[in-house]
Amino acid sequence: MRNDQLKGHLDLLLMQVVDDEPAHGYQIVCALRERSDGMFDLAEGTVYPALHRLERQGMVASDWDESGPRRRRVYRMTHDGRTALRAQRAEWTQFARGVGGVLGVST
Amino acid sequence: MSPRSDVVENYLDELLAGLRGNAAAVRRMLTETEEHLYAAIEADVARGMDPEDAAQQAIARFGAPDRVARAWSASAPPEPLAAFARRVVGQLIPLGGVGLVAIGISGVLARLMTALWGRSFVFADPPGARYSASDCQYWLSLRPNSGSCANAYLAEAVADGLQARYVAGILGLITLAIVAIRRRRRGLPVLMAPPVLTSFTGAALFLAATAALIGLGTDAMRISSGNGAGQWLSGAVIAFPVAIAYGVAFLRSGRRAPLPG
Repeated sequence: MRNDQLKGHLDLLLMQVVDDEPAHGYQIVCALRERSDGMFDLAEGTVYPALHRLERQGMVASDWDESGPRRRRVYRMTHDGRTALRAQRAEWTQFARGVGGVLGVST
Repeated sequence: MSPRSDVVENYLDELLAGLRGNAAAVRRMLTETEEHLYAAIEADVARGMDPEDAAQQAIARFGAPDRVARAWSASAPPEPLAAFARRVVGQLIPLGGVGLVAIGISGVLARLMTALWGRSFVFADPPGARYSASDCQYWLSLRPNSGSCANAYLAEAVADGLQARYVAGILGLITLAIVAIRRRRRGLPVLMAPPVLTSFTGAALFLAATAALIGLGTDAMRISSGNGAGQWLSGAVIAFPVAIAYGVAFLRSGRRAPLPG
């Protein structure tokens, strides 16, 4: 998938992955790749600035996990993030339904 | 836990050079990058990949350092004005050093032109130039054996012109040495591709200088029978390749794709 197509949806995808389970950056990237069947092949390093921005916006929170051999920043959803995610999911579903209707494909 | 990889360490150095803003946020980004890369390497090695290949693949998937740094810049909070000014000045200082060294090298070329085509071609005034009696007296006092005011002036012009360019070149070398020492102290590579601001400014300035110097040199050839053309053309011959080098660096940095997020 082209980067500019992914750009508008990256926040939604990141929040969904983090909402399912608290995760560190590498796990989030792996989950994005696996769940999209390799379609979201973005430069992995660009996920971190997006996560940091979401954290500044209060959508996610994070803490260091010192239990492993290396420190890991683990991200989790906040209450505000869940509310925003619900709204964005509803918006996306409506949009996808509309596009699907025009194209004659089920979504 | 993976052993340290030179590929990863070099990548982190290059990324650090491009990250700017709050120190704690930069440190966190680097720590997360390091963890990510080693986790990716461990996963690929566990699947049977050679550790060196795994390291290369991990950094390729992570993205070019300047691409990641630009994503960081795009999403980072606005930089304080003082920090922005410091960064801009810091990026332009190496450009100033390169400019001074270029002037120094043009002095060497001017010296060579003097030997090949004579002093008049490089430093003389247009034919028929008149000098005041006091100027002539001064130049003849410095060059008593030159035989005429015009010859004394030319000898002084050559000496002063070359000396000024050599001094500029030495100052440029000192500037670049200071930049290299500062980079080494910060643990950065001494030689790095210039950032976009530096490469764009460098290409524009040196290209403009090339055009202006060629214009002045051509005028001297046309109007002044070639007198003094060498002082401009020696600069143009050096400025042009420097402009091309900065232009290539700029195009390389600008070719990278826009970022998600």
